[in-house]
Amino acid sequence: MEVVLASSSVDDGIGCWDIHTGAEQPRYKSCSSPFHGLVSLGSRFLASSQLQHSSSTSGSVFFWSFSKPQVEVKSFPVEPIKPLAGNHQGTYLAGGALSGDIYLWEVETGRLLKKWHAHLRAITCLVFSEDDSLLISGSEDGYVRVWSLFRLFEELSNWEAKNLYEYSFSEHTMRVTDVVIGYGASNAIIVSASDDRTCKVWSLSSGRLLRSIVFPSIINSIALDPAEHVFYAGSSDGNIYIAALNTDRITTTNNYGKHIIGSFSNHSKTVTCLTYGKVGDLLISGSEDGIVRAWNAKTRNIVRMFKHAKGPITNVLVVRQEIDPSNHMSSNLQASTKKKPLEKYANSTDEDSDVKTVISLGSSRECMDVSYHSSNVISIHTKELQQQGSAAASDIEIEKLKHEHERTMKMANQWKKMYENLHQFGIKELLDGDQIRTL
Amino acid sequence: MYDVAFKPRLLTTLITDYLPNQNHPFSNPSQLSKVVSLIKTHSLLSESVTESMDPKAIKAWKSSVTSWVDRVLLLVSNHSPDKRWAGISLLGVTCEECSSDRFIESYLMWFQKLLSSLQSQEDSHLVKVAACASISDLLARLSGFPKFKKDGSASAVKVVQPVIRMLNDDNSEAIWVESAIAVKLVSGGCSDDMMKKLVHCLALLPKSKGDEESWSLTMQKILITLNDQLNLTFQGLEDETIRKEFNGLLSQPGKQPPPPLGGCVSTEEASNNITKRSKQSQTVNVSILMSGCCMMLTNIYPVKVNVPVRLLLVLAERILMVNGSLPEMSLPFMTARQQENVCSELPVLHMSSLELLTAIIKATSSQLLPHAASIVRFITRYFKTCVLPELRIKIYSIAKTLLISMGVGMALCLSKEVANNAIADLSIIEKKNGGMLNGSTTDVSTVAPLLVNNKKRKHSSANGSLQEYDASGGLGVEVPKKCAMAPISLRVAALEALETLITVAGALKSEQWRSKVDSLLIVVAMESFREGSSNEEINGFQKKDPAATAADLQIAALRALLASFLSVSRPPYLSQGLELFRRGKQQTGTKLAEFCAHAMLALEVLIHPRALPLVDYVPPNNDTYDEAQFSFRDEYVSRNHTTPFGLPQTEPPNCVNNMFANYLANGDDEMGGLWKENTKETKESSQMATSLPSSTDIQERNDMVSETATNADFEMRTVETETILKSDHLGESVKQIQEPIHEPVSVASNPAVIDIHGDAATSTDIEPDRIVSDSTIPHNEANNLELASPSKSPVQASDTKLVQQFAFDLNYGNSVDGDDDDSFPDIVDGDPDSDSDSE
Repeated sequence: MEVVLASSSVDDGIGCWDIHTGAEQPRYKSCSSPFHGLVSLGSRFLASSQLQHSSSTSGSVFFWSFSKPQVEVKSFPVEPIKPLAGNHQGTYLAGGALSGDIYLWEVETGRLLKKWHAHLRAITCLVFSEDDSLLISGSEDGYVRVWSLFRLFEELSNWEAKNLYEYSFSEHTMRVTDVVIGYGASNAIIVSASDDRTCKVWSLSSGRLLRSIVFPSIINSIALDPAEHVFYAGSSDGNIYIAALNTDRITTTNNYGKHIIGSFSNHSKTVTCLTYGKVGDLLISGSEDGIVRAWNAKTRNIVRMFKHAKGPITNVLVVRQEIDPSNHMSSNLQASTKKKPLEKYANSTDEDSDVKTVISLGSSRECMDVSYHSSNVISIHTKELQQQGSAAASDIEIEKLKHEHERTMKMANQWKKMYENLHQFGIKELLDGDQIRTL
Repeated sequence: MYDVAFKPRLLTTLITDYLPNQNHPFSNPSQLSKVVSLIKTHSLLSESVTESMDPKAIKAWKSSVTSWVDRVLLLVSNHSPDKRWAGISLLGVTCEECSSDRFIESYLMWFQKLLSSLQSQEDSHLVKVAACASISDLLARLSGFPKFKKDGSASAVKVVQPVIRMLNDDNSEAIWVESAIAVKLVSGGCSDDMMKKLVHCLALLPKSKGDEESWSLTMQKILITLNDQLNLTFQGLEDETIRKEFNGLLSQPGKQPPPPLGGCVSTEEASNNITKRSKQSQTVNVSILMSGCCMMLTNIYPVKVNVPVRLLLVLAERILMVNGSLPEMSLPFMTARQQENVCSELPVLHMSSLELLTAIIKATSSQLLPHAASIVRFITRYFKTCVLPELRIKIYSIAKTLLISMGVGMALCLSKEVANNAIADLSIIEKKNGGMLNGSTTDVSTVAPLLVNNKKRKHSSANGSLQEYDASGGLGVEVPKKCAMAPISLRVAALEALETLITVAGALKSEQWRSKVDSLLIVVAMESFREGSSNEEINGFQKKDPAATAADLQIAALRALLASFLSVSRPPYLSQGLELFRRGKQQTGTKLAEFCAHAMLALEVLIHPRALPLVDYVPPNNDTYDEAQFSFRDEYVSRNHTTPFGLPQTEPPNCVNNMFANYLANGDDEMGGLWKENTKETKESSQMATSLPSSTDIQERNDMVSETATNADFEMRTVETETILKSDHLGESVKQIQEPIHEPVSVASNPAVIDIHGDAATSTDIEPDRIVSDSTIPHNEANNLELASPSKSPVQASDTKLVQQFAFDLNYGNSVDGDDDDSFPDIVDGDPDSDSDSE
């Protein structure tokens, strides 16, 4: 079941709607998330960072399992975390802190695997690349940086190289509001939006700026078209702009500017978040007025509207929920694999920490290819018997001969007996005849 | 054949004619195979009925199957061993083939029969084997019915004891499966095949409980046993530090070590056996136990388990670090004999630890991240020392798995190593035949200069790893006389690794190795097409692995070539490659032809791009630039960068036209109007003539491309026509300024002009001279002329460097204001050269 999830900055829970029918599902309770603060981890958990009172110094990240509306695990990292990102399998969770640090946790055990100073100012958005090997971060200082997770773990380079990042894009002059990355391992493109009213398209392979698009208003959120012909940009003026990536050259007949193909709007207020549903070409947008709208990306008409909250929507997600709520077995199983809260500090002293890894072996689907042997055995044995090569075959042969022998012995005995009887009979007859004659 | 009525008839015939019966002796066992195959092909026992069937036929079928089962059961209880064997085997087949109703009805009775024959002491070997097979079939079938799980497990328990007794007919009193297996394993003396089966059982054992605890326990037991064995084997040969690390990880502080594998029995017996055993069987045991670890890692397990990844990695590393040479200090403790023994077994051990590494990578997949760095460090180190082809093949496959599972991030670290090693393994061809290639085929001649460069570069460069590798002389790279070619299977593995590398990270920070690899791949691919070349004959003797043939090598080479083409926007050897794929496609009926057809399809997009990729963005060097100028330059840069033939796939940039139009309008109203009209008409006519789809509608365009795909020439021609037209019109308009008399004529004769140029374009490629003359003649005369040349020269300029230079020079405002004429002739002069270079 594909569902739309939406969270708001005011505590109104996480709204949940079936994308096909539009039916509202039970809400996940008590969540007030900042922008980019809601992720689904491997379609088993939801994780959301929480907006804190400015007084509190620690952050908080809540977890929901899909089957239960209540918060399942609460964890409180050392500092406020805003953006979150999970890899596609849901095994790692990355969080960006106000201080510009990025934390990387293992979801299953809650272990803090790495923490590094990524930006000078607060992280605003985080995203994993398609193959989960790169992490892209955007910050308030206007930088977009690409991190190879793998290199972060290579301790040697920690000492040698000063810059841990693969790329650092500095062309944005103001706060980065959103970053997305497209398909294609090394040829992927990264699109970033910023408060400086531009969206910039970067090449991952060359690390260069490919295109800079100036918008009439600040872009808060970007969604890539699955085929990456265009991207959608939700702006503060309530419009969703469509900007060209690799489609045709844009005729400048419209008044928006270069590369902008068009726009559509039914929002009275700022578009705060966007996401693209793979099913049915739906573009989902969240707005400051608390309403989630689903657009048909082709016709640009509103297909559905979900009223979520009084306050602005901060996150919309489209998630495939694999749990069937009617199946209690699976939900019990889900509960049994209860996860642990995230660690606050990296435990380098504990020897045990990175020695073991919790893994589910094999795929979840049952493998039921039964193999039968009998017919195989028959053909092998037949060959053996025919060639009379092996000891086993000769065993059988011997036994067979034994039986034969027994039977023939019996037969012979029988014949013998019969012969003897006959003999007796003959003698008797003879004797009797003689007696008769002599009588 | 498909008639239902036929089936019971056939079955009855089989029973009467082919099955041995009570009284007649069983003369020909081969008849049984025929019976089984008939039953299987016609599914005679299936009793699969549908409603439409004749009830009579159903009844007949049912009764005939019943009589079959009766007969088989009679045979099972026959006292003649051969008939009993036949009966038992056929009962197994029946379990597999019969309908589920019948199976559920009678499986208990069948099981009893089979079990009793399994348990009978004096039965011959063949009968017992048949009984085992049949019981396994019965249980396998039973596993398909979840309802009878309980019954099944109850019956299965009964099987365990007799089976164990059979395992240990050397009358030891092992009563637990684990100990039975362990005794067999540790004491050795079984055939390899047997050992594999045993260890497989061991790996499956924890499944019977299915909780995390038993998995970890079994794993730990195996590791402890392994440790003991390794300590014995590697005495004095290994580094103490890694041994200590392993031991430290193995014994967790504060925890009781688990009982040894198989309980007390095995240790006693094992220790007894240790004295008897030769060194050889020890190493066999190690590799067998390690394969047990692999199985435990890769088999499906119902719950999540805690895998001691670090420990396993250290284990693999520990073994791989032993290369058989003696460390200085331990020299006196080691006899030469011992060393010989260990060294002769090391390849097997290395192989199994590499397999363990693969299993770890597979099992952990994305969660390998914290350990990935150490694996990579280790692999790079091992790569340099590894010489044996089999081990190198394995390493390549590990690298491949790592690259695919960890993606770009891993590729950044591993690319250099993989590329260097693959080049070393493949470059023998290059070295040996480089000279020959020069003269042999015309195709290669274009590549050859590059190769020479490469060779020089390789030899002269201080590329550490490569030289080290060569110096070691591992594969005899340095021995040209013997011509020791890497075995085909190794070359295939190297090609596959390169393919993966290019696929994953062909474009990301690949400058160091990319050009080398590209040229190598095209040479290898071409080489593979040389039929009956001396290579193959040499390899006929050297080929160790019959699995990898020249055909495999060819496909691997072409696959890698395809990847190298697809991962960049402008592959350098595209034309040669296309020719190879075309030739490959003609080898009808082979795998090669299939692949080449696929490759042609994949490359189609490259030849006729369906959408413009994002253009390369050149940062502004002048603040007065505005967006429009960027677009103008981007347009042409992209055109030259992305399409090998300079095909503009979209409509001409309107903004540019507008710019010119505006300018013209400002300078000369009449001309401006004319210009506008001209462009409009050109656009229309060109659209009509070429029917180039407007790119706003992607669907339509795709259709169009596929339509014209068969006739590439046509599209190319028309597009070129358009290009030339564009530039020509500028020239035309310029001429009009010179000679106003021509003005109405030229406008009127526009379509005619198109035709002429279209023809010209087909006969040759782009005609630089002609265009140049068009633009250069009026160049010095009118002020407007500069407008003509900038718009045209980039079309011809296929050289990227030139374009960059041009981009630098082309400060539009300056060229108008400053009137610097010098830059243009330069560019125009450069064009013919660059064209001929690139072709």
